[in-house]
Amino acid sequence: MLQVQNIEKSYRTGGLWKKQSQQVLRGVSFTCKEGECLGIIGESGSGKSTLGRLILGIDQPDQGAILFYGQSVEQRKVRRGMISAVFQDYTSSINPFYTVEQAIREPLEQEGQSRMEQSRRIDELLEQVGLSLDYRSKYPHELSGGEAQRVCIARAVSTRPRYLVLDEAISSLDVRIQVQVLHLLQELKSVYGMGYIFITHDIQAAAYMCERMIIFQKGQIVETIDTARLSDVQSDYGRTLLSAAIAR
Amino acid sequence: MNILEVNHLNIHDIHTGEPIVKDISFDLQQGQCLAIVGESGSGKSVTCRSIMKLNPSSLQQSGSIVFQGTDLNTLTDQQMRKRRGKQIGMIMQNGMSAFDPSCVIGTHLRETLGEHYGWNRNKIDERMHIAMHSVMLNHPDQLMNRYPHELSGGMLQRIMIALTLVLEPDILIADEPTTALDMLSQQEVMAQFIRLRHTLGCSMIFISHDLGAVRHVADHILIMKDGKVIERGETEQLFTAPRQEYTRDLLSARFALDNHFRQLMKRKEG
Amino acid sequence: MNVWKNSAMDKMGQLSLIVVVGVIIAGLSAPVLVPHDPLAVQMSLRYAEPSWEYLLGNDQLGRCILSRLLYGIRPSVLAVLLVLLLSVLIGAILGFLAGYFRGKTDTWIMRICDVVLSFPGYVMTLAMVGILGVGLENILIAFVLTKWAWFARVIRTSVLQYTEMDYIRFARTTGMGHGAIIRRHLIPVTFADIAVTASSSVGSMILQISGFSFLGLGIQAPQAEWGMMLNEAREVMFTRPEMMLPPAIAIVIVVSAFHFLADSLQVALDPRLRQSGLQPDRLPDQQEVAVRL
Repeated sequence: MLQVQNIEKSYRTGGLWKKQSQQVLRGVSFTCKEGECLGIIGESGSGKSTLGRLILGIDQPDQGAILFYGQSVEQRKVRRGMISAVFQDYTSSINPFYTVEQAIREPLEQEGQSRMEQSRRIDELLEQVGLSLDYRSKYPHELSGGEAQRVCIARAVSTRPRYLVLDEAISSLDVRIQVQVLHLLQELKSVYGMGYIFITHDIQAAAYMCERMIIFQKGQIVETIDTARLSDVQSDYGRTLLSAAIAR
Repeated sequence: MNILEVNHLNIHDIHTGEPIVKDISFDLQQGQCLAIVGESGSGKSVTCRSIMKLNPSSLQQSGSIVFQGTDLNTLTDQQMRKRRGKQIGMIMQNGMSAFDPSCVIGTHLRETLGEHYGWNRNKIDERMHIAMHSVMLNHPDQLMNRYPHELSGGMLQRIMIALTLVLEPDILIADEPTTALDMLSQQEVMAQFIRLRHTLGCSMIFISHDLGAVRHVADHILIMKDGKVIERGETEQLFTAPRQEYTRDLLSARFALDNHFRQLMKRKEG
Repeated sequence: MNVWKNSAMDKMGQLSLIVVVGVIIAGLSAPVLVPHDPLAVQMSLRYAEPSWEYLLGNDQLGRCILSRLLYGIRPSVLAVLLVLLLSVLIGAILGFLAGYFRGKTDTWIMRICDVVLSFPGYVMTLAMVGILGVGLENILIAFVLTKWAWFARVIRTSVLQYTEMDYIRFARTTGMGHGAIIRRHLIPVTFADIAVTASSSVGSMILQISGFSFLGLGIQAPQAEWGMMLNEAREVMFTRPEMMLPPAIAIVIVVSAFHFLADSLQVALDPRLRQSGLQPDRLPDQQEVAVRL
């Protein structure tokens, strides 16, 4: 159970002496149940990426807390193996010096398994994401966008996390590959029973994947709605997003 | 009347000997919009950069690119530079990196316009303000004093379009201009492109990886795969009766998502 | 890793590496290699032409130039490398701390760097020599105390651009400790930048030590040092110009070798040139790269 409670976050702009701040997140609260796929829809500048970083514990909120089964997500031991992420830019998501095998092995090393078990797990993961075992020795610059993102997904689910944060994970891919990756994510969700936090600006993709959606604008939650009742969206901004999606 | 004729364009990498674009030919008629659609690695961006002769020197091109009667492949760098911007304009994918990050937008715009027209500062500002209003950008004087990183991607792209309006090039090449934008910005920028098409009668080459996105702006479409043109035709014809399986795949790429979404929306009426 | 490095470098880089390693070994084994005592004065052989016994001839005091050149490697090259190592180490530690942790740590370290860097290098060194006294050790101390700041800045910039990478973000998400992240992700990636920066500043350091010896502030007579040999040759510049050649050429060769090495290293350490061995060679002039690691 992931709980976000009254998050406030602002960044200091201005120089060393000026003290201006820009409020990025205001009073954000929501819950993500176990195994639920929650969508966070927002345009760029809405603060959704900052929210993603806070959920992953790599940044700290000014006020409020993010709790994972009651414990603060800022503690490393709470996150380890339990929360993982796939990011938008696949070109910078893998250490360029690492092979695919080393990249997937990295989170596994913290679990304390033997090297043999790790290798077995890596093979299993590559198969699950649809890559042949040849890929183990490839370097990131030798992979296409879709392949690189699959490696990132394999790496992310390697520790069987309870939650996976997908921060615009399909936005940089070609359209056909986007759909393939979405299907892969759905499959993995049923295999592992993970909860997803799907951050995106693409409301159609979110509607396809998620059971519940949060509409986000200027650092605040505008509306929360069940996907099944998407057509009943109340807020003006929500309606704007929907009509833009329909017009595509 | 063909404003641009590309014949037997071949581009290969000098270091590896690998061909990147294999013997493609196409024409662009005056006042028409041609869309080149393909996935990453299909060679679409390389093709259009080669029209502008902006590819790195490791890529060698052969074939003829005839623009208003002159073969661009035969021109020197000096002669080519005169044509870039003023006669052949380009809008890139990432608005942020298209502007010099170390100076405000106004400086960049004035430099460009000064180079091509030789106007003074006031005239440049006047023309830019009119152009920025027409792409729905309010407070152009404030915008001109902002740095690129202070503006959103959608706004930067619209400023690029405004600059194009002032430069009035004969051909505009738009290289995936909406790919890096989010949904609402995409809509806004596409609307501007459609306006550009119809009001200015601009000849355009529009590159995209999303076939659905170019439906409303293109007259003709070229589908590229692995450096070759595998299908071409008029927009509506391609959409209703595609011949190649790859084209059908591209058309139905988001089918699952679109369908699902439409079902959801139908509930309102039902 | 070493074998790979060798084969990935171009011919110039390999040659430079051989020169650099050769010079270092020659300097270390100078006592064994020298044909004659570099300090042995023999007035009868003043300004003698090169002969089979004295391969580069003799200087104004009849000492063997070749022997002095070899012994001169120690202060001119080896000492510089020591200084380089120390200042890069200090600079790297502070640069990593500043670039990775940012915030107040970064601000404080950078302000201290700014203060150190605002003094012109030569002036600072001269001032320290003035306080500590003349001699090679004091110049080396002065170098280390002034040069770390520049390395700290450059390394910090390099670290800053990599800290924002998504793979570092992922490592932090999965709960990897700061030390592990720096060790496994940042050091390999910034190593190329550090190596190139370091090797390109060796040249200027060698020249500076030679410069200070030329001024008489570094190594003292009768010890051999290339800059000092140049100084001594300067006095007879018009009567015996050939005296300037051995030390000058030695300096040029070594400094150029380091610069070419720096250039080649930059290309060789680029991870994008690595191959898994499963794809055809991308670059025909670097076919050795397809060797499996």
